[in-house]
Amino acid sequence: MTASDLITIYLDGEATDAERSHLFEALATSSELQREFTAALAINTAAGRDARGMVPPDHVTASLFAKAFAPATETVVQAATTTWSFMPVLLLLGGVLTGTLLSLLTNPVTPERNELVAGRDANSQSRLETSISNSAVPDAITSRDLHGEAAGTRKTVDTRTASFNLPFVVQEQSSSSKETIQQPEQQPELSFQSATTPVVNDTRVHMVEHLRVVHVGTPGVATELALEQPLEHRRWSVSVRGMSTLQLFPGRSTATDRDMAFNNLGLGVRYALSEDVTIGAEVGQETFPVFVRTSTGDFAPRATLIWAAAVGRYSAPALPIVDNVRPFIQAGVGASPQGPVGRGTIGLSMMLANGLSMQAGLEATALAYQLDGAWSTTEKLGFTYGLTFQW
Amino acid sequence: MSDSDLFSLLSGAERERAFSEIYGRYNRRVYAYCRTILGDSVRADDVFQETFLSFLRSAERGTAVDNVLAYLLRIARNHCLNAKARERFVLDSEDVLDALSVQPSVETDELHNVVRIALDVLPEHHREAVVLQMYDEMSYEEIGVVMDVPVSTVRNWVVRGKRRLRNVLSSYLGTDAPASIHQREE
Repeated sequence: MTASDLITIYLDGEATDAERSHLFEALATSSELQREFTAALAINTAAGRDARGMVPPDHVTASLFAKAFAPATETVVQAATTTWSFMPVLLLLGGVLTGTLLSLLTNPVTPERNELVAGRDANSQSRLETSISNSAVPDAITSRDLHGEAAGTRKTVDTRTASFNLPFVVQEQSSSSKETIQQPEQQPELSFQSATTPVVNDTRVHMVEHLRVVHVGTPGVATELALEQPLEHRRWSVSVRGMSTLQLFPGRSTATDRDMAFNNLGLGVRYALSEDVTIGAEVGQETFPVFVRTSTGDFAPRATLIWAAAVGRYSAPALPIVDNVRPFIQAGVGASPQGPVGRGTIGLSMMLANGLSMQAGLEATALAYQLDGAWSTTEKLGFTYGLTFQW
Repeated sequence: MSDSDLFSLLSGAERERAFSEIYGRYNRRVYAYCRTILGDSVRADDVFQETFLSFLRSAERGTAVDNVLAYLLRIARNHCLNAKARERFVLDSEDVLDALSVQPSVETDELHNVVRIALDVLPEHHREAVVLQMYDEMSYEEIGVVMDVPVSTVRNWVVRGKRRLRNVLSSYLGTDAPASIHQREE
């Protein structure tokens, strides 16, 4: 082994102590060997730098993972079919949303009904429900406006009080009987009062805070009613929700999701255009079965993406059997760093307390992304649950 | 988590996560090997993917592996050999030497390109050993595992290969060639 060869052995970190000593002695006396040492070191350095610059292109990595974990052929076909099954649903929801918004823009909706619920005592609650048009104080309230049979006539109207002689329906709900409807023998006097602003103006009734029902013919008997959820007071809402993945499309395992703590979290702000329609925006983070290169150069097989979307929600009337639960559908269109995101939700919203409600439902999400220059989509079906606070 | 632990997960439910982790650790070194041995980036991309796919399938079959990187590079080596066997075109040493007869320069940015070209002059085994040592930073012992030869053989191949490499690049580096660049290796 020549001294020249020992340069290689030494620079490769494979020289023994004896070989190292031999090399150093030779280097000390040979300028030619020193130049060769310098050249060998330059070659090693250049090769090392070259190696560090060789990184597989992103499309190669993405293609590799797709090949490695693609489902079997039969499943691919099935997944492809299922993949597009969500698209009509999303398109339908989008169409409903668009149509609703257009109708609102062309024909603004004013609240049609104020629900007034009586104060409660320990044993019973009385409810008076009236459906007074808010477009103007009516001269006559028809049976269509009242949950009852008879009509009434406006008695007096001034800037602070509107009084009516109206028949009314009392729905008594006690601990023993579920619901009993009683028709009073004599018509009571029904009056609106406001402590702050005029109850009545020339266009609509608003800011009604109390309703006093006076039983005609029974002096001293009256029921104070408080307005529950005046729509005018609860236009804005914020929501927080989580999402649990039920199924990914194309079919993939969700096994690795369990390592992610705060997975699929969403925050939203919405504004009520009417009692039934709200629009707003949501942001969140969610995992999708795609592969992206992280900032550290590694590859995340199920990437957690930040997304933002514009959303619209339509809430149906309360369920007949549970009057604080309303079905809803929601659609959203937005974006993520990997591509556009669409989501559709169908669920139930339950009013828990003053302004606070809970939602739960099924949600379908679609993410479009580019792979090898072509657009692909991936879909998820999940369970969503959350809280909303209105004010 | 160690390489062995991750490798054992490749046949289970967490195979995707384990594969991703192993890929993150070694993709650059495997890719550097493929690019250097094959030269052509398109072929290197293909062989690189085939390497990891073969690796995954092998793990799923329950193959026992001690050194994951060495195992990956053995697979890559086999795929590279197959790819080269399919290749009819053989680069002549004189072509390489002509390509290197550019104006001498010691610009580092250019040097790495010249080194990669010069590797084609080396005999096949010498080149593989040199590439594994310089580009994948493997020890002679690890190279012996990949190439399935004794350490002494690896040492011999690396020494001869690098000696030849220095000879070829002597004019480029501005050093005197201690031996003829046309000298045939024994």
